[in-house]
Amino acid sequence: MLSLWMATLDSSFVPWTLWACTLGAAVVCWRVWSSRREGSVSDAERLAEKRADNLGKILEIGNTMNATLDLDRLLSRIAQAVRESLGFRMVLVRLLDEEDGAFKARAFAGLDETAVAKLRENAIPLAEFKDLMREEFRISRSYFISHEAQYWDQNDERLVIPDLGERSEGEWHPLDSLFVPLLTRDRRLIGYLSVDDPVDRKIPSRDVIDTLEIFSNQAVTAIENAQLYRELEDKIHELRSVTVKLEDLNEAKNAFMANVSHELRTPLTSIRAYLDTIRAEVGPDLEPQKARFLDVIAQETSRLTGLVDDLLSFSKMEAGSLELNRVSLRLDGLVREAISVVGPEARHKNLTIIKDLVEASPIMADRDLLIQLILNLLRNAVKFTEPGGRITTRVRNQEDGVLLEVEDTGIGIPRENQEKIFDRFYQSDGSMTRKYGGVGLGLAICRTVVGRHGGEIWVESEEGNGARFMVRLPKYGTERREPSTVCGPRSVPDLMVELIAEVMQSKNASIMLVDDEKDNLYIETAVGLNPEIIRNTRVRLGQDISGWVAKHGRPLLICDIEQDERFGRRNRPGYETKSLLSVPLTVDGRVIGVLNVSNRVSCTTFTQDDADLLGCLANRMALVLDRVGRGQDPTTGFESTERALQSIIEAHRTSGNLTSPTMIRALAEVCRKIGMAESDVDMMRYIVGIYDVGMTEVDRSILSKSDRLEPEEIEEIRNHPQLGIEILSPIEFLDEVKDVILHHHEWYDGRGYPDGLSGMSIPRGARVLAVVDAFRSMTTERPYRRARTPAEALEELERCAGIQFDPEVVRAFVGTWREMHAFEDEPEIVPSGAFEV
Amino acid sequence: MAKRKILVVDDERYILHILDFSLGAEGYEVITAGDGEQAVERARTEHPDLVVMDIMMPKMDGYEACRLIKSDPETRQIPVIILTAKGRDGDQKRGRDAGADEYLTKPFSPAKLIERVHSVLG
Repeated sequence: MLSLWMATLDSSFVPWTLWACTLGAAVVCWRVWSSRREGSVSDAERLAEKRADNLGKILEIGNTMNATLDLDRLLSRIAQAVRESLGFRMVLVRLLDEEDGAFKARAFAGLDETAVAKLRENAIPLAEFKDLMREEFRISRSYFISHEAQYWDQNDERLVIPDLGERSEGEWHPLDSLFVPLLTRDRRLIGYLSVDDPVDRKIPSRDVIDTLEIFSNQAVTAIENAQLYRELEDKIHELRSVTVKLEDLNEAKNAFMANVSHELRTPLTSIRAYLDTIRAEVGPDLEPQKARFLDVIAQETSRLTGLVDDLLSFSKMEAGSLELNRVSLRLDGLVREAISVVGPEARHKNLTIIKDLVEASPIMADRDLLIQLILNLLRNAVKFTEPGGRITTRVRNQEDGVLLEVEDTGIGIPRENQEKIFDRFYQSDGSMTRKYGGVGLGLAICRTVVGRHGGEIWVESEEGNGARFMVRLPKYGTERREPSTVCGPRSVPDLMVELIAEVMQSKNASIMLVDDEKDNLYIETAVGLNPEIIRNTRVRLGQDISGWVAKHGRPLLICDIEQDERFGRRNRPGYETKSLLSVPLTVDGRVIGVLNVSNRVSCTTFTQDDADLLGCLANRMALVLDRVGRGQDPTTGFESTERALQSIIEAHRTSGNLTSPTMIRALAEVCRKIGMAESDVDMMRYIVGIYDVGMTEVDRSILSKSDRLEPEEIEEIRNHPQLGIEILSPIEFLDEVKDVILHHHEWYDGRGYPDGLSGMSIPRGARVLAVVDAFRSMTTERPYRRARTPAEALEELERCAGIQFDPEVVRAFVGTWREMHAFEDEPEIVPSGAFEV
Repeated sequence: MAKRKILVVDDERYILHILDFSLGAEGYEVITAGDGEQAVERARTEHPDLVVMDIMMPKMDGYEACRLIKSDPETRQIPVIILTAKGRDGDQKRGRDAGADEYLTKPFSPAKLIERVHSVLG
């Protein structure tokens, strides 16, 4: 069934529809055919043109459809396009509502409000519509029902019948109706598109019907896409809520486990206390058998206590609330201590424990957790080794850490299970729980403990032939420690974040690292954040800003967090300024973390330049973090890395060495002008922020001296590029960077230092840096001279081109500076020691 | 010399009992309290020479009780040994912040506690 309508230009509507059908319909169809034929032969050219035009419209609609997935908007566009390009004054799109089994009006063109309301009100039942799809009405895939068929009951109030005025024979009649069912590729009927009141008053030709059908195809695609999209969205929504539920459940489980283990511990404490008292008071007088019974009770109590401890630690580790309490310790001592605990159990099973321990290098680690780790390994060995067997403990120093081995002569672990045994609640097979006891958490805890210390744990074993568990712990981990606001020795990451805040002129900066095990990010260290936030923040990969950056490995510059729809306009951490920057820390294409800065001191918005600069810094930091993290810092010690960072911060703070955004922009532009690759430009941007660290080592009194310098003082100053790269070497691994810094005081004519290089043998970057450095220095006030204006400085550069400086670089610099300051009247003067902002 | 008096605070009656027994056997007079509030009250009225305090208790926890004892001029000189759950979660630090003189992690053996008590009371 169908409701059609017609409208006159004066919009007076007369209700109307056709119901019944007569035998004349087939004849009508034939007439439509023939009328089309006559019409189309006459002016083929005009038709072709029109067709091209229509195809254009269709294409346009196609594009729109790809661009929007809002179904109702799309359908209206389609209705509108049919109206405009096919010349029907009225268009209606109805879609089948699967639940009601009826067609509901969804889009209209050329209809007034009354008609729209009426059409919306009256859905067309599927059965009624199917009755219309008779072979006798069919033309191609469309159906045309002529008024002559007398199909419609004119008194049906659901119908909208337009007043088309007087009509002559052969013209479109108010009771004529034409519609195209919307069929999916698999022939599913999802709706229909009907048209009325052709502008030319003619019964539509086959061409028009063909085009109408193309439109309807487009509509089907659009509807299917939109529906798919909506389903997808529903699914996503569903999944999200499931995830949230699962997280809640997991949290509830962890809380439950923590509570239960706590409750279990209380009676155990009493039992232990009574037991110890009995043994102390009457133990010596007891007959041997009873004394043995007491021993068994004591042993089992301590085993139960161990299990409860496992549960408690595990639930805490799961909840991410386990904090490392690092102290300096030696692994061999810990192993001895642990052996003394399991000794009785081992003796009971007639096992020999061999101590093959060297004096271990001290490591920074959590004592309680490491004891638990070693105990778990030893208890496993005791548990899985048959009486009379042997357990060997080994401790060895390695270049970058300490290696611990616990080897037994027990039942071994089949190869296919060697990974799985570190999963929680896993035991090689179900029968093991019965035979050997335990809850299958021990090794999962070991893995977490080792992971939190930045180490590795693995097993070598053959079924039936014993197992050897190996643990490697690095000398220095990059694990979270107390935030840098706390006094005391600062770690490399602490210094880095401080440096970043300094360079980026931000009140907040943070380094977040990826926790591979949990697929999330935690704050390694930060400035300007409260310790509570630092401790508790966990960001899932892909979620929020840092999560997005970590997942996609791309930087993100946000001008106004509250306006950014991508992140739900959340200003959760309560940033003072709404602009923030987040860049990935990447090593060999692998994202190891994220660098964030926010709250500019100047309260301005971050720019692309800032993003680029932070990106350069991030590249370096990532390498350093990675090396320090893996304890691989063979060439230099940890302290020298700290010193390097400290020196750069110092340089930034004291010597007015902070490079202004303007200078960095100018530098980048100059580099591009002389044809440097973009990666080299980035490198230069980074270098300009650090090249002068050597100066921090030069005696302050020499630098502030206004008299002539003594020869040895000059020598000291001349030494600063060399000093600089020495300081930087622990955090800078690129020779190119070092070369640029080392040679930025070489002269073009060969009279510079340290190596007296000349012309093109001076590294290109160093030639650029020489000019930028000279300009900066000239425009900065010194104790012994006033600052020159930029114009004077440019003049001086030009005067020294070919002598001190590379003429090409000078030309590029002068050009760039003038372009950048073409519209400024006031020269930029920077007082010594002040930050350029 | 008069018997030294020790106030033992715990909500577990068996812990109270065994400590009463063990410390009593060492010649101390033991008085007990079942929660933090009672502990503060008894410290004021009974002037014990030492308090052994559990942390997790109803009404008022051990930290708070310790803090109150240490802030009252009447009782502040009384040493407090805190019984913490297994040296985690900054328990020790919180204990120190609350003014505790010593701590012992649970589960503990009475012999260890007696050792500490001797050392605190000199």
